[in-house]
Amino acid sequence: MRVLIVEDDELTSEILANALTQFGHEVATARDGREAMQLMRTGKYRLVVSDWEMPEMSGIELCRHIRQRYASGYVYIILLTARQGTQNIVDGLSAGADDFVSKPFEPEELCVRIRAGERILSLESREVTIFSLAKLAESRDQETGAHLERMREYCRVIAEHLALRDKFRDQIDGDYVQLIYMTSPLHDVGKVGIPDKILLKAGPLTHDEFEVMKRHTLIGCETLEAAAEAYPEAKFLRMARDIARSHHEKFDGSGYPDGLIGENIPLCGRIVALADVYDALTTKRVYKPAYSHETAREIILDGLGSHFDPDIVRAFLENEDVFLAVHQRFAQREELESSLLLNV
Amino acid sequence: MELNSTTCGATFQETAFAAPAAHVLDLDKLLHRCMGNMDLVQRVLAKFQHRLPAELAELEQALADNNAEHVARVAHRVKGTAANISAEELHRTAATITELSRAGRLVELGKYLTQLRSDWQRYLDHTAMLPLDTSSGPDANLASASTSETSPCASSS
Repeated sequence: MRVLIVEDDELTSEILANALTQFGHEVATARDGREAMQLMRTGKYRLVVSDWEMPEMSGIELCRHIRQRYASGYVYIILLTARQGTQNIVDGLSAGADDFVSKPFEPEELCVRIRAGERILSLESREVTIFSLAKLAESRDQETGAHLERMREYCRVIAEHLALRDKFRDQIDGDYVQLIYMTSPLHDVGKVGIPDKILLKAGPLTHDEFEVMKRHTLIGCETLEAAAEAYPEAKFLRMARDIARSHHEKFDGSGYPDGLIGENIPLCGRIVALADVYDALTTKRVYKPAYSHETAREIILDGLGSHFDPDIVRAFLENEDVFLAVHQRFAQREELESSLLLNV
Repeated sequence: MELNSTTCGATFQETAFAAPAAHVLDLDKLLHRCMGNMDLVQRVLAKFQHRLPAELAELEQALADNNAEHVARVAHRVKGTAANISAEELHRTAATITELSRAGRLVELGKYLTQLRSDWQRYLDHTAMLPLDTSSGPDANLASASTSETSPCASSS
């Protein structure tokens, strides 16, 4: 791991650098906040160990600068401090620090705290990798734009709502919400295995073509199943596999590929089914205009109990304003991006 | 990785050269913080020894100028370095000077600067008894007598 040490005292900096190097890290040092910000601009450093009290720019100010400028990739910040007391901790955390190490530091403590930071950063890397894979699969399709981004937001809203209900309390917790947010973008990953002439066909699909198209659920499932077998401890792969296979199942058993009925359909698949359809309805596609939220609502209500799980439709109805807000937020973002592109 | 300096054999406090006054300079702790790297211990102490006289003079001048902010800045630096090299007496006195100067209580500082001077002298007396050569400036190397005993520890880290 590349670690940036920010410490105005040369001797302390040297002792810190030696300890971190011994623990196998690649270390760079900065003498003050300004030099640290220059090194941060290289994009090499995602873990910073900074002194709290430094002349000109304190560790707290450095935290704020990093948080303001580096929103795209998380930077884990550990502050070195001799300060104690709740208020100091609150000040540090408010400024964006992730952890504290007391001064003078103990090498073992610093090592385990850096390891904790690495774990946090690796989680982010995992999410980025998953989402990149999903975007890659989607790039062959015509459903471009922010479909995956919107859809995972809808999934999260539904899952968070269901988590509050007794019926789902044993199935859905914070971890489940996070997992569905992370893995739902992989629902159509199997489309990479569908030939262009079918996937990109402008007109309606023939019966045989549709049969091929339906295979994207199985291709996605098989791919993710192989990965899940190789990494059995990775819960997210199992959920991703279930979503890929079951997101076209319908509550009355008329869906594909397995024709599962009701709660035999994995819960994550039932959630994604509604989120996917709502987004398809409310955004423009080559074969249809964007329907209003009200029209989408009617169509979803028509499918209550046949296409969709009634509990999930209820979660949707009770969070309509949130769905609408997500839709509008992304619409505004797309408008802004379009106008920026026009001005280039 | 074994961090315990006792793997080198006897600890510094047990050697014939070391005074029992760990509060003046706790070399075991410093060696531990330096991951058993004696070259680094040597280098850090040499730099500290090279730097502190100028910082003491700077503190006295800042006090003579009635510049509390300057006193606080230098005292804070001394405090931090002393803590990291485990020079407890110097650290404690520098911490007091830092707090008093931040509170603007400059009139009380005279005796603590005197205290810092005597802490420093005790530090010099103490380190002179250790098997280290810290007198030749920041690029000093290990005293030849201690090299053969300490290098295995550094390499084991």
